[in-house]
Amino acid sequence: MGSTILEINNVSKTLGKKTILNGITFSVNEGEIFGFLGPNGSGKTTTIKMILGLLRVDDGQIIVCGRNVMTDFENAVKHIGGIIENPEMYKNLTGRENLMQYKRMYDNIPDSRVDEVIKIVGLEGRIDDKISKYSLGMRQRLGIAQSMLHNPKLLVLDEPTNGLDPDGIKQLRDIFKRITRENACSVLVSSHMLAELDLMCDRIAIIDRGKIVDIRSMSEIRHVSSDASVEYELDCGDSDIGMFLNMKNMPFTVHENGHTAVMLKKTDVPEFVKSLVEQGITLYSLVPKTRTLEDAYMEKTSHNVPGGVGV
Amino acid sequence: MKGLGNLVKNELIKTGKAVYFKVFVILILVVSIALPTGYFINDKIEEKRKNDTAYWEDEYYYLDENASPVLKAYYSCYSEASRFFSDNSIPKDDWRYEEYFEVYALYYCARAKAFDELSKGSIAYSEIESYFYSAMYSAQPDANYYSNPYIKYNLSDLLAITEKPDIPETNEDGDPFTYEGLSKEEYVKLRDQAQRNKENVAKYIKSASIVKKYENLVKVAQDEVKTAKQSLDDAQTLYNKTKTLDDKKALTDAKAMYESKNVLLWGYQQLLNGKYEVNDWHYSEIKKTLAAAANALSSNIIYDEDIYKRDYADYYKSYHRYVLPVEPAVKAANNAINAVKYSFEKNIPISGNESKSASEYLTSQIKIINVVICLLMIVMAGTTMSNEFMSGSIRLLLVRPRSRSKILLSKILSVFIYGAGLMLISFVIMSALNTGLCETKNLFAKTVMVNFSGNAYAILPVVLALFKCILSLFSVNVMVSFSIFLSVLFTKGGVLAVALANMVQIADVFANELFNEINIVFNGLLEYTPVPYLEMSFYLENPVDYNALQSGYSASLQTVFNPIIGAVVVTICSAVFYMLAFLIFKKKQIKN
Repeated sequence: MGSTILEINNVSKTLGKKTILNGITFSVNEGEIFGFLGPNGSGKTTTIKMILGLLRVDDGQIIVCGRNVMTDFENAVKHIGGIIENPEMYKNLTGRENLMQYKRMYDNIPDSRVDEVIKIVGLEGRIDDKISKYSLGMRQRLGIAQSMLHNPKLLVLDEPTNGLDPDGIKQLRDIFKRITRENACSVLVSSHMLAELDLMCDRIAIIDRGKIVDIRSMSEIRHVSSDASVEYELDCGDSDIGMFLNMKNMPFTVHENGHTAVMLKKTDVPEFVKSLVEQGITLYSLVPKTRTLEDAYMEKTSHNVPGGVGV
Repeated sequence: MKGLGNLVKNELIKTGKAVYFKVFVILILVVSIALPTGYFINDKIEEKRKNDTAYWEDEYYYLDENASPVLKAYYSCYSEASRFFSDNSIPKDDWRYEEYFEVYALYYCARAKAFDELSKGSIAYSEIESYFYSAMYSAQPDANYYSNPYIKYNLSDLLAITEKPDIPETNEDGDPFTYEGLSKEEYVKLRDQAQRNKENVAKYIKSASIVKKYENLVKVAQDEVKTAKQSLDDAQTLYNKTKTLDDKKALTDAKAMYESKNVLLWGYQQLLNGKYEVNDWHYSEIKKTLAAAANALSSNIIYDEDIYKRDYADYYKSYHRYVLPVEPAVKAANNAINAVKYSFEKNIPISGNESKSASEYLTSQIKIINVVICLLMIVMAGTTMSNEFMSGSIRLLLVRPRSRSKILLSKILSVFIYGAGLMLISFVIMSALNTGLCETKNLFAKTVMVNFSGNAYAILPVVLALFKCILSLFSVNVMVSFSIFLSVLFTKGGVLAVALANMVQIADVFANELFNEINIVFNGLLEYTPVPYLEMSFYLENPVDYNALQSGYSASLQTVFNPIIGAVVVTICSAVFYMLAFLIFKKKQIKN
């Protein structure tokens, strides 16, 4: 990965008497899709609003492309595009007119860029209709379009897939992957849709009750490094693999479907398969069970307890 | 101001697409066309009605029991005469109609009855009554109304007369017959001439006798000046000797009277020099404006502090409060005199004195339309920010490389751009229509105005009208800034902002009445609040303030107005509200 696009350094936030965020720190690198995960009220939206300058940073710093959002807002925010929840735009204007409104708030964006983003989000057919006639999904797509108008280095998106159908969600995922690859743009996306983040993100931060509880890359979460032991599921048909494993002093469990689960390091797999074959045990399949994001999330968060007080 | 232009463009587009805005614009355009058209149609109707005798009946019956007794007396004559003629089916070309209605009813009876009422002590509180009042107390030979030969007849007796009666040598008091300052011989000669030429007798005689009339006026005025000078000299001598307060008071009175008579003399000399016709603006400026001003000078006398302490301190509690009711009248009188003198010097009429002219109509129409436009500006100011908050579009608006100050500034600018634009459009429409429809097309003919120091100057009516628009735009800053401030403070309360701002705006209309008492209690402190200055163009009305030209001590307190103070108050109030708005908006956290 390249340089750091977004740095959140020991940021705290109090609204009224309640502490919403308590010294959170994380960063987003150039070209990565960074997921931001947490239960309701954990402080996700508050964090995003602070990055976008809608809320004041009480303590700590938020730096975007080297510019402090609090002290050098205009220079910081020109690298950011964002949407918070459902993007509200001007209902009396058409989609295109709304985009033109935002385009005019930047320097040097050609009119052709507006057509480009319309094409990217797939709104060509309805762009000249008043947005009061748009569906939720269309409004969401228009919101994403306005966030990309100025080719930002960082897209900050709060629940971007809200209201989108599966096709739309996949489209969005593809857009994000493409722009991070082609434009060296980073994406910070907060969402409840674990499955979506799982498919999309490079790294994840999990926040709970105003504190960051975990920051990991997806590959770490899925335990794809060779050092870690992963559960493998074996289909050996009628062969008695249990005896073999007992002999090897390897603990195992048998699943309902008759498959056997055993913990192995990736580097040990070839040797293990070889010894199975030598023992005359038939092996139909050997599948590593990938740990999912949901697993990691459930582990780290207090999901059984009513959440924190963030917005 | 990088990017401000585009921000303003954005705001103009957003506001321009709003439904309420489109409704207002249509309303303003319709009113801009309707007002001049309406005035024109109204004039035509009035003209037609005045040719019907029924018009005078309506005027009389229009007066309710609370109407001034002077007006009632005046119109009762018209009413009585017109009913008499219609009941008896006397046609308009009958000699009795012309001589009797024109001369008796319109000229003598009505005025005589009005004068009678005034001498009983009825208070003169309207423009028309002020005119009678001043006519009554200035030397006018045609106040010899009793010399009309028909005055002793009852209306019903007229029916029995088949021949015109002889004109008596004298009236009941033994004074020789005069009609428009003419002797009996002169009158008969001119009457016969008028009848030969088939012209309206009264009008013909009036016209022909004008010089004689003016000569009489001047002569009487000269006599009165002489008398006043004598009184002044006597009073001065006496005071020099005794130095008492009573004699000082008498001297002050004598000075005022002398000044007043001199003013009238000057005026009548102008009339004699110019030999102006009765329907000429020169005539009405002297007979109406100058006469009222001279009257005001002699009846609104400000005594010095010593006299005040002795005679008025118990009632007024402070010298300032004593002076307060009288000063506007004195100021108005001096302004009027300056205006008339300047007007004659440059031969330019005083603004507002040419009735039914394009300039007068434009002035009054602009006043109306600008109130609507200012209302719209206040609504725009109140809703522009609160709409963003209420709809949630504020979140997307603020995440841009433009400071919040610039964003707020662009909203304020868009309000003023639309306001000024609409004022200009309505101004152009109404100017064109008034010029087209009015008989007197004088928008580009100079008129006389008086500035706030009392000096007269000439100005084109169109320039004056545009200047009034600029003043309106300046004054509305108070309400616009207040609206913006409220809408930033109570972000969901755009309606509150608009309602409150409009309430204060409308209260200004009643400010004079509402705050008169407060002004008395607080020694005229209203002058230092923004309330009198919420619409500064209202104070650029006709240079002659007829309301103030009356007996000051019995007049209700006029709101004191000082334009320098007004400009300062408006600037300070607006600046405070704008600054607060900018500060609050800059620090505001968008929680929802």
